[in-house]
Amino acid sequence: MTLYSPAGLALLSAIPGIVLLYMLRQRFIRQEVSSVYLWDRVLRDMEVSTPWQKLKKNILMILQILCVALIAFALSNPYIRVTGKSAGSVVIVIDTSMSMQSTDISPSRIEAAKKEASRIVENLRPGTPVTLVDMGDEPVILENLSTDSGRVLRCIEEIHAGNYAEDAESTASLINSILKAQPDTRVVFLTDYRAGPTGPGIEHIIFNGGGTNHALTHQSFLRTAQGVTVLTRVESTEAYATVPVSLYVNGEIFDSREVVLGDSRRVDVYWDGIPADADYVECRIDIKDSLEADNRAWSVVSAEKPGKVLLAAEKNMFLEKALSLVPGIEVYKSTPQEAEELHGYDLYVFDGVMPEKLPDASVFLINPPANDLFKAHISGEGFAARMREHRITQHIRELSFNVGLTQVLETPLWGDVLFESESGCIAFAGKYEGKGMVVLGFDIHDTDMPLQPVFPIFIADAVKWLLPGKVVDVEAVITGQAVEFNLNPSAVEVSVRNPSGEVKKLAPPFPPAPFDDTGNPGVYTLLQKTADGPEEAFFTVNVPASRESGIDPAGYGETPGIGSSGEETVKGETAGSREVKLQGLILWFVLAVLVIEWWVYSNAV
Amino acid sequence: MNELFDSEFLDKIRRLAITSRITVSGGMGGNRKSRSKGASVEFSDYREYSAGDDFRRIDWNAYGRFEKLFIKLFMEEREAPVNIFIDASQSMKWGNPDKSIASRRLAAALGCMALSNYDRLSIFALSDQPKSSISSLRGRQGFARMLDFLVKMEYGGKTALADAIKKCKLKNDRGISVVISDMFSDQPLNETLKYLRFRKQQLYVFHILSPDEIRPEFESAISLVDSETGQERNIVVTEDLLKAYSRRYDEFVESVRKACFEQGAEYVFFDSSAPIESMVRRVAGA
Repeated sequence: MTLYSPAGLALLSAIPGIVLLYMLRQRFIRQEVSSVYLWDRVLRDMEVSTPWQKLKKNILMILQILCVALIAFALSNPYIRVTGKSAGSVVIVIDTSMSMQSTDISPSRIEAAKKEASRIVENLRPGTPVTLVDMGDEPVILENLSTDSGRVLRCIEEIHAGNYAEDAESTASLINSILKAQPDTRVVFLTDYRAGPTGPGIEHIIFNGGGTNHALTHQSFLRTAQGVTVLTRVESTEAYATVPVSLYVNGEIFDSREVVLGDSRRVDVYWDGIPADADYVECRIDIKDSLEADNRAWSVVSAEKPGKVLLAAEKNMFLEKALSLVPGIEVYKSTPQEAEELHGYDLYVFDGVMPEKLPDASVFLINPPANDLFKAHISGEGFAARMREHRITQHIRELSFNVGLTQVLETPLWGDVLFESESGCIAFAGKYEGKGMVVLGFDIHDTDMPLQPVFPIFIADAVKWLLPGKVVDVEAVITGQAVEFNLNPSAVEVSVRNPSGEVKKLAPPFPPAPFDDTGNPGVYTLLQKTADGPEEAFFTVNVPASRESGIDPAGYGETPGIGSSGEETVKGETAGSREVKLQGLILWFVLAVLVIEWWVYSNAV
Repeated sequence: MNELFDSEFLDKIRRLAITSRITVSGGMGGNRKSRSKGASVEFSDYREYSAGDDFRRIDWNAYGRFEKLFIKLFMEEREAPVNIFIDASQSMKWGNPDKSIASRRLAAALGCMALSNYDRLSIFALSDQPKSSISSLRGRQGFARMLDFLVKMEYGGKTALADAIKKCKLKNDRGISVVISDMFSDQPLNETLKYLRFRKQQLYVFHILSPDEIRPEFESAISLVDSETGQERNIVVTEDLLKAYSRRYDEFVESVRKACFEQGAEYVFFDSSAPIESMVRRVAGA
């Protein structure tokens, strides 16, 4: 046991005073009686059992001495160690992902976790360094080795759960590094499932009431000549649940129905007949459950306007054919010479040529000549080209082809490799001055690339990536994710209006930084002021329901433990230990002693 | 006198005197009306006529001789001396109701019964020695004098009945002695009773205590002050203490009763709040 405020024991000096008070003559009320004849005999009888009588007479004194001793002990701030040696410092990790908003534990999982975190801090021995980590979409250290428990407690109070999935891997990496630097650290994870690393000195406190939750985990749409059809997936933790859902089109109610989830706890709902001119849809679950955040899903369903593509090539049947297969574009052809004079296209495809001044739009350069934009040198013949992972190639499992003659390109800082050979990069893609650019360093005719079945797909995906028809590059934006926009090349001012109606300016300056203020789900509006007038485009942000809505304990797999870097993982042991504060317990004893004292006094009287 | 003996009380004791009497056992009795007219009775003695006596008993021959009225007494009518010893120590002037009042009222009732029975009444007020007395009271005149004496009785001093009684001038005749006391004395009662038995007395002991002495209702810390000696005793009232007192009280009463039994004395216990009739009836029935 350790006394962290031994000065509190000074109160023990009050004990002699109490004894003195009892030693002084007690005040007796004078009362005349006829005779003390009988009382003399009574008092003699009482003296026979003197030891006990004396004890009883003094029991109040004893209780008061005990009371003072306990208070002095409490003031000395005692702690006892529960197991092992005490931890040098403590790391408290609080999961702030969306699932912590669940109310299956009153008032919510996050509030219960915060309360437990506060309790841990309050029971630490004074001066224990505390590191507080917010495990959200990225781990954030809120307090680092702070010995000011009041400050840590205030920080805990301000924590709240967001609409994102936690980044358990990054958090595990952070904890690993902390433990390597300070092995004598106790780590406490406050979460709703076994997130974070495991190992000696690491404990998990799980807040999961297993409540019922329904969620919209997926939503997509299909545009046909007859209109739009939306698919919404409804899932639940409860088998055979009946879930009422509604669909809103452009903010107006369109349809509602009750769906019954079977044994699989999942059902896909199709919404047909949505007007072709609809901009966005919202699906809602019309029943309260323990997690409200995943009960709504949004999708933008507006038709994309066709992109205008100018193909500047002498003759390239492969390219022309491939471009003709790309839906949603209108392809115009010109000679390389005429192309420099032509404006107003969304995408310029230059085959074998490169204009002196790049147009103010996205460009697709095939076998460009030497230029100042990037360096290149001619490579030898006869080698294989390999595909690299890129958004353009995300739908292609594999594309390898043989190249006869190519330029080996020095990938600029703003570019990413698309294809490479033994000699290096032979194709890259990137954003140059806010505009998309794809560069193939070879003549298609010098390769067997057009003969690959996936060649049209590659061309189509490259065109889609280059065209500013879609506002955002990704199919679905989830909360917390940073978004890069495909801006109108003629845009002079760009801002975003969030679902709450607040407008945030992004540009100028150009190019705008990625927009990361996507903490709230809903429909966002990209506002652009262009030379041709203002433009509005919608994009939606949804919660990561498929990750965070499976709120029963069986929803998730294990996360990396210590040893993911190659060390042996040890689970279940706790090297550190807790020091338990005794002050509160002692004060309860004091209260009990006071109650006993009152009882003894009452009965004596 | 009104405070101690009001008219209601006096009426009560007169009625009691008519319907109740204490008698001397062993063939000696106080005056009683003959039940059989013409029965042979043996002349015993004369005594001077006093108001209230049956005028048919006046011996006119004696009147002719002495020019004083005398009445004849027969064997059955010989007067019995009744001695009432009242504890007049300071401890008796205590209680609620005051024991001194209750004891004097009892004495008045007993005295009235004796006087109605044409017994010779003597009353002694005692503490550790005789304080005052009145003797040879008879008849109605005696009644008034008795009441006056009782009213004027003073209380004080310690209790030592044996010492005090021995100093009293008692007739040698067999008689009745009544002791009225709270018995708070270190002198054993046996000593007192033995002496009175020696003096051929038929004994009645009236043990009187106040409700406060029977069941004290003290609280907290008390300094008890003895009203006779001034001695102090500090006590802290607890449940155990009161239980111990109760035990000691029971033992005390039992010891007095036992002493009376051993000496052939009639024992009557009452508390000062009891109605006088119940006390007297107990005596009459004893």
